[in-house]
Amino acid sequence: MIELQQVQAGYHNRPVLRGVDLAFRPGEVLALIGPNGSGKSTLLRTALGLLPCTGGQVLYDGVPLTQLSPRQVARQAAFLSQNRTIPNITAQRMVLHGRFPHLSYPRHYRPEDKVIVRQALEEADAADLADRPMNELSGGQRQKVYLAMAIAQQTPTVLMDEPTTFLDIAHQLGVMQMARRLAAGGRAVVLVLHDLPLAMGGAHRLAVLQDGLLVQSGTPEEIYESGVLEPVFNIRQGRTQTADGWRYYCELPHKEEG
Amino acid sequence: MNSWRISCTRLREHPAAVAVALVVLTLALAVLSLCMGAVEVTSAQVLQALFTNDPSEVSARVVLYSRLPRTCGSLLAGAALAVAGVLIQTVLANPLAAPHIIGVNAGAGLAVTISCAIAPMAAVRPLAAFAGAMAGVLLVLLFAESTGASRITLVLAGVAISSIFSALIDAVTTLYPDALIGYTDFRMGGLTGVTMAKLAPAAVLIGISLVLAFSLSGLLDVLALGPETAQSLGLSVRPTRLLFLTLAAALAGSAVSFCGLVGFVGLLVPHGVRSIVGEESRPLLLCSALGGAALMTLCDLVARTVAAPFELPVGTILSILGGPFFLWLLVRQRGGRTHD
Repeated sequence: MIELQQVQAGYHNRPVLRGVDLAFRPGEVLALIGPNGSGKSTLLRTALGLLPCTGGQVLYDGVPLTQLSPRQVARQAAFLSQNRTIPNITAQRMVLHGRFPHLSYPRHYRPEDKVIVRQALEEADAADLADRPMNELSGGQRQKVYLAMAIAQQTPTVLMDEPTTFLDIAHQLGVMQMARRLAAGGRAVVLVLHDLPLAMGGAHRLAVLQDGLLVQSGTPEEIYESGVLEPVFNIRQGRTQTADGWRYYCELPHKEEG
Repeated sequence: MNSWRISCTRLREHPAAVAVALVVLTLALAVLSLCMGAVEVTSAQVLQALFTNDPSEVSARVVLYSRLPRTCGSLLAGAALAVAGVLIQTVLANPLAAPHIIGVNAGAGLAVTISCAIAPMAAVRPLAAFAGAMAGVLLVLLFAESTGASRITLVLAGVAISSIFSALIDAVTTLYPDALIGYTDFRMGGLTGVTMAKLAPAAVLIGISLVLAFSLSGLLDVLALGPETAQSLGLSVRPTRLLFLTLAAALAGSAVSFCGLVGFVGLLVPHGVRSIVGEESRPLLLCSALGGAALMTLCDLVARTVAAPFELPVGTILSILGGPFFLWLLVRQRGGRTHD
């Protein structure tokens, strides 16, 4: 399990995260939410060691992140970055790179890696895309391939930075469904999301960030009932009861007339 | 256009067939390069000269002392510059980057100029060129990492670095005019006067660098996914970038040490090959090496024969081909149609 203890981090001496305590628990989908610039992506990057901590520490199963090599980290956590280069290779080849942390020199992919890749493509509903070049796929199809790559990495934790951005609603729901499925298999899944109803409806737990501080974390019901979203996002929240449980929505606050 | 794309997609599934076709093309061009020129030599005479190694015949002397070193030089330089182009473009994630555009060739040229002026030994040249190319590479990497420069800005920075190196080359040429007689050929890029003795040290460096680049192609594949994804897959990004840029500097520097400031091979070939075999590093590196060797040999052949009995510098032919291609790339880049 990955734990952040009093983590501080930032860019060019500009602090972004300020003393964040958070744990990524197995079997749980955790959504990181907060306004732009609140430190959500910075939190993921710090948890992976892509950005160094300026204070506090990140623990991987109790071991400080600073004591682990990039390869050891890659065997513990898969990451779907927001900043991606789309290479002109097939989807299958792309997913095969998910096996990279498990290879030793001379880094040749083995037959068992190819079996794992095929299973990952099927699990991510991307088997039909295997032979298609990445640069000819739509945004939603690429996201499936990246998810398959994360699955092929076979890590106990999967971190996704804005995985639903630029996707249509069906693909957004598909990503959430996949996150729930991964969590059901025992993985810890952490997503940075901007869509509050999607996060409230799909995640087991939410962590609300504002100005680099963890304002609150809890189940969607706890977050809703605390009313914390309204001042943080400057919105009005609401929910309706359905046969499947609560459906959450948000809208701009009413302005007083006159 | 569509049929071209479909053909390329089919070829991408058979990179071995593309490599075999390029081997055949390169060999054919090498044979032509040995046979054609001011003195016509038949293929039988070429074979006789190569196997007997007897320089008593005129044709044998032409083959052994002029055309063989020249052909070997064009094959080596083409392969080295094209592979250096692939490495630099992948590491900097910039399709506009090439050894001569970002100042690597000019850095090597400056170091070679200084070494010719101070210590004119053939064996020193490739090492000096490597050091100069490495200086160019490190300057660009430092600029890219510290400013997060965009693709176009990085190219402009390369132009500025090239200009600084070129000005220093002019200064050295002015200060040591006697030591640098005939240096114009070097600046324009060409294979006139290449000998096996000049080629040997550079060939060793190019050979080692090519073998290392091929054997580490798996790392290059992961690096091509972008720094964040690469690091999250367990790659130590910064040392790996430095390693590949060092190999690119060794390749470009070695080529510059004997063929001068030849441009555009490292831009034209990787782009052409990428559109046919895709971006998987192993076939891309192999086919780029073969394609570079073929292009350089072809251009040298054209340079020798198109205005016979006069000879054009091979760098001129490549600039005529490469200049418009680079402009097209820039336009495509500005239009945002390049993959990102």
